[in-house]
Amino acid sequence: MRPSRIVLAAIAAGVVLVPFAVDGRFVWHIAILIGIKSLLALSLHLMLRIGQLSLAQAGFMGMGAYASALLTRDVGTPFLLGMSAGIAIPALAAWLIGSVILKVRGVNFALLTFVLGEAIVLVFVEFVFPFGGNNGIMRIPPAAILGFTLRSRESFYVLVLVTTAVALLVVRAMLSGQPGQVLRGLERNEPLVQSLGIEALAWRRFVFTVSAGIAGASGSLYAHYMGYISPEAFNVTATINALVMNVVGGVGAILGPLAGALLLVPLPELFRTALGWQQFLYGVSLLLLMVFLPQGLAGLARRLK
Amino acid sequence: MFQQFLVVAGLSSATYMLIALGFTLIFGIMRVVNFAHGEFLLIGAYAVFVAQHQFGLDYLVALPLAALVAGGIGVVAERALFRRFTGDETGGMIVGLALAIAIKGAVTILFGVDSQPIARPFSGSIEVAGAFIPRDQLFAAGVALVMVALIWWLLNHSRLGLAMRAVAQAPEVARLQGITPWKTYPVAFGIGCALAGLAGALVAPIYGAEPNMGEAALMKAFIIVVLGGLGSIPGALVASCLLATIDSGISILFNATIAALVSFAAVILVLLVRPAGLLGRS
Repeated sequence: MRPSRIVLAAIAAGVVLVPFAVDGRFVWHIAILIGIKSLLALSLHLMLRIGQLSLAQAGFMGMGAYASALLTRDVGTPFLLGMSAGIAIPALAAWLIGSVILKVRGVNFALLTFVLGEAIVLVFVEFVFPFGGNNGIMRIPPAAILGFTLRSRESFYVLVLVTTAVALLVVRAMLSGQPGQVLRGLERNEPLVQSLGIEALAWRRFVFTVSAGIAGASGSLYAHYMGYISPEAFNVTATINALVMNVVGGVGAILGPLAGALLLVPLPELFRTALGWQQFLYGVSLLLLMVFLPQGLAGLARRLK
Repeated sequence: MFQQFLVVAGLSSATYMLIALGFTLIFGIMRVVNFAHGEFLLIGAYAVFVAQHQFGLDYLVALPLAALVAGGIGVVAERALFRRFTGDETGGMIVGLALAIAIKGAVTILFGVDSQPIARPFSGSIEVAGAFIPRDQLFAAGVALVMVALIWWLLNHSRLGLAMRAVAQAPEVARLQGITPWKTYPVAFGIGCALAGLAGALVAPIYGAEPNMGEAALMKAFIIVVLGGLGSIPGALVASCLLATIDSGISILFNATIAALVSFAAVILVLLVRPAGLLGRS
């Protein structure tokens, strides 16, 4: 292990343990939200690694949230099964629709997934049965594992941590070794990868499926943590926030989206006193960031080295 | 009923054309996806509101002013922000998104979230073959079509248009011919934003001005350019008519949400057959 890695691991462990040290209701709340949002950011990160900006990720998150919430509340499915469905359903949807839309590259893909994300949210709004329309779904049962209900924020935080760690390991496995080489090849020189007998579309569809599954996990956790969900939580603005986390953290590093979430989730709380100005200040700080720090925190770290 | 459907489809395709034309023009020439395009529409609509209520100007005077304000802000945005991200499509998209958030936030601070009424320049409607055409919507569609024709002429028959097409095709070669891309880009971006501002000013009397109008317009523009082929102006015009037909037809039969879902399904169908869009080149 290189020294820089040990430092990084120490920082990560420290950050993860902060809520246990401070132990305030609000700190737990923010910590859980950071975990949920970093899962969404991670799912977007995976797509960025093959050079395709997918703006439908929050839509997949919504699919996971609605699937998990409806199954546990109305069908009486146990939480873990509900969450598995919340991962599998968006993944399946991405696999099906991916065959068509992944043929489209670059900017067209971003525009198309933007419309796809909006279309998913419109389905939640339009079909009042079973999705509850604009009011959404209320009284979602809390997470429970093997009869043990995770009512306290501490226990839910641990669940979020474990899920994030698993997702991180999955993404890392995909980005390293031979799959990683294929994925990097897809981003840089697709014809060359294809000339080696590798079916590019199938690989990209695989990545899209996994990324939708991670977004679904984020949605399932969100639904069971909040206890209620409504369509506007999953519109394109949520995806854009996840994209911003990637940009702030740095698109080139796997920890980039996590660092971005850590920095950005508490940010609106800073502007809370100026509620009307929140959106404007957020937009302006993003613009300043893009102008002065286009490579994100990872770029800054690289420059300091 | 059918005549009325034709009228609605015809009127909305004209404004769709105006919105999508500006968007695809900017992309075609600069390879920049202007995610803030809807917010320039917003600027146009609120410019009319300010001109009417603060300065007491007539709508017909406010209309060109609104386009100029949106175009001016567009030129400034190009110089200060978008120029840094030439050749970086993802970076350009994120800057556009950030600009959109900031503009919408500023509009909300200045005018609040409620819809602002704008005095209609014309009232009443005329009857043609059993269908009623509202005069104000007819005026909006007419102005939009004239502008589309004007831009078409500008691009194909003027020196400025020639320069823009040259820069779009090969920036380096254009420079050898004495055309400076750095001078052409702000002009193209300004024209694109001015068209969005004009579209906003044209629809404002019909729907009022409110902070969310940009998002809906942006989504329409996206569907149109993906359908028609990104950067292709004839594609955008054809797709505008197609989307307007689907939109108004399904809206009359069912409702606007179903119409949006059907138009998305139409995009998927077209992409299955032609991944680059109807008239796009891959």
